Amino acid sequence: MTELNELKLINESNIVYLKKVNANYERNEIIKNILEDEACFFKMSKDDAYLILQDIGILNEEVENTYQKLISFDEFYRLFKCKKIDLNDKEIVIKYPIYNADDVFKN
Amino acid sequence: MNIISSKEQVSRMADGINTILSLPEEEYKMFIKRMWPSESIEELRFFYLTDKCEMPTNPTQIGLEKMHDEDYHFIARGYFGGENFSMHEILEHCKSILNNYPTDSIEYSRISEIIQSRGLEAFKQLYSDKNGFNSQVVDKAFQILLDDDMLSKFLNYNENKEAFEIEGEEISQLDYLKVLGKILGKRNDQGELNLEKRISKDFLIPEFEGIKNRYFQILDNINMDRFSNPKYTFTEVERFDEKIIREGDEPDWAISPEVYQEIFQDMPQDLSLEEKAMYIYCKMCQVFQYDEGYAYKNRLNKVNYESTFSKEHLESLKPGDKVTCYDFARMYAKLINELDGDITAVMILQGINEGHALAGFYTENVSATVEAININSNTDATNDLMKAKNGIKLSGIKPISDRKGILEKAINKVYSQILGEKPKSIKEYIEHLRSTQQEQDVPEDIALRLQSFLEVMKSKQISGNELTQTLWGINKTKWFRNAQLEMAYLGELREDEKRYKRHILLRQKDKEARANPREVYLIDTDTLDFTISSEEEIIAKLNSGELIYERKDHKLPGIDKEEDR
Repeated sequence: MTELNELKLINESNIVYLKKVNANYERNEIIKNILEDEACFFKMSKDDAYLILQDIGILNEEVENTYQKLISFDEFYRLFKCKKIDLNDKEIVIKYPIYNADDVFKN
Repeated sequence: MNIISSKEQVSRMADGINTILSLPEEEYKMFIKRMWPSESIEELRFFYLTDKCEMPTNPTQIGLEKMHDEDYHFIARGYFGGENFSMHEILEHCKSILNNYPTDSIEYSRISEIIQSRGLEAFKQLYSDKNGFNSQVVDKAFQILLDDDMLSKFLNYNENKEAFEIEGEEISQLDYLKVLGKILGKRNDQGELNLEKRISKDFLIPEFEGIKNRYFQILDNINMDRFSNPKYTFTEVERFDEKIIREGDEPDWAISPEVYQEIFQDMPQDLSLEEKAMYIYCKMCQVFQYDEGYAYKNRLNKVNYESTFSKEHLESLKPGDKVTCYDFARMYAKLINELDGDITAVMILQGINEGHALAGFYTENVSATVEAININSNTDATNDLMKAKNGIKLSGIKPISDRKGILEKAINKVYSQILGEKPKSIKEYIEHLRSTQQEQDVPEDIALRLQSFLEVMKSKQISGNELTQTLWGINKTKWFRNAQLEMAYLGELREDEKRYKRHILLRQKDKEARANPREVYLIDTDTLDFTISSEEEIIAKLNSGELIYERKDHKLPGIDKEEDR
């Protein structure tokens, strides 16, 4: 399961829980909408990402580690290959260079 | 084709060419006929009688080697080894020796014919025949690519139509573009034509560099994607396990009047074709729901759970109905194909067992796929049917060609018309988040937290080992860590299935934090049932053998069989 999917599950659990205890869950709903975009963490600053992770309830000592996994090159490349990231999307603020294998080995 | 020379005299290439030049007339005619490319493009190999071969007992042949006799017995020798030359190298060699011979000699004539058999005319003929093009149109198209003046006129076509008439008949620029696009293809990521490798191997076209450069000028000035990229028109598939269903491939059927009304009643009349395509897509996503019963298709046979066409089922669909990817793709393609104008839609089946469907459409400006129901197993049901109902940016539209960003603008325009607002960007969501007050003093109830978690797991049909793994994943949350939950696995024998089912036993480490000091929680990983139990009850079940610890070295302290305590 990807890091993002785990966050989605945790956030959804939070929504269910907050409803049960009659607490306001508006922020979690907004976060749910944000997380619908698999590339969302590549479209926000670190501060914003931290805000979301802390809102979801990630332990402080786990936030940085979680964040780094969410914006890793591997994740970027996976999203690129699945066409969930468009390199021309102006919303993307964290970008990695994607090389064509032929270019790399071209004389 | 194999050319066999008796023995080495000069070099393999030179000796081979000399053998060709000395062929008896009948044999030479056969040779030159095979040199002209047709359905296959033959290679030329030069061998000597003294080369190694697989069938040494077959009779020796000098010249053009015959493979079979009149009775279709294999009579060739199966030579192997020796240097291999590309046709291009052979032709270059021919070109270099041409002027060694008098112009009225047989040798000069034959060498010229060999060069011609793989020159520009042969190339044009091959690709005309392959694509069924009018040879005069092809000739004219290549004139454009051979002459700067013609190219300039072509790029200002409307001012120069007469220059492109054939036998007094006007030919549209589109017709020439189709020919050029089909023959020369598109420019690849390296800025070259994919065709170049084939040309450099099998042909000798000295004019090719000029042809290519003029073609690139056309590509730079005119959107040729439709003609040069077969994926644009879905003539070529993206994956080997894709199948394209076009209008007319399946029986005709009628979309219900209720659906027509729902889709089109509010559609503005002044939309472009691309905007209409996006409007219909967004509206369909809003109007229909996803049939999650598809997940149970192995247990329940329904006609639209397979890729097979059912007129009865399709004609019964009404607004608000639950649909599968097949239903959506078929209906979308039909609605688009019914639009007036230069727009075409197809249905795309994916998977060896045709387990998934999406649609594609193209106009003169854009080509795209639309996938309302995404079955990517790494994500949840975050399909566009859900997004369109919640004002979230749609993600199922994937351009194949859209040079001017028409689709993005079209989506933004029609989406806001359908929803009354435009979809939010991530930035806007975050601004909204920051402006929303945080809930203070949320009570903590671990049992309720676990139940909430299990509810979500149930809705996602995550159970068994996957549930266990996901539970470890939420270990990084504050509520889980703060609760200091101890965890162990218990097995319960299922006699009927002859297997052990896993239960997860949880307990808060801190006794004082528990609602009840002896309270434990039990999760059935199959059914996802959550039970608040007591240490005594678990011990009793361990004593009776109803439950066993999965691992002897991993138990909850104080909770064990009497004899093991």
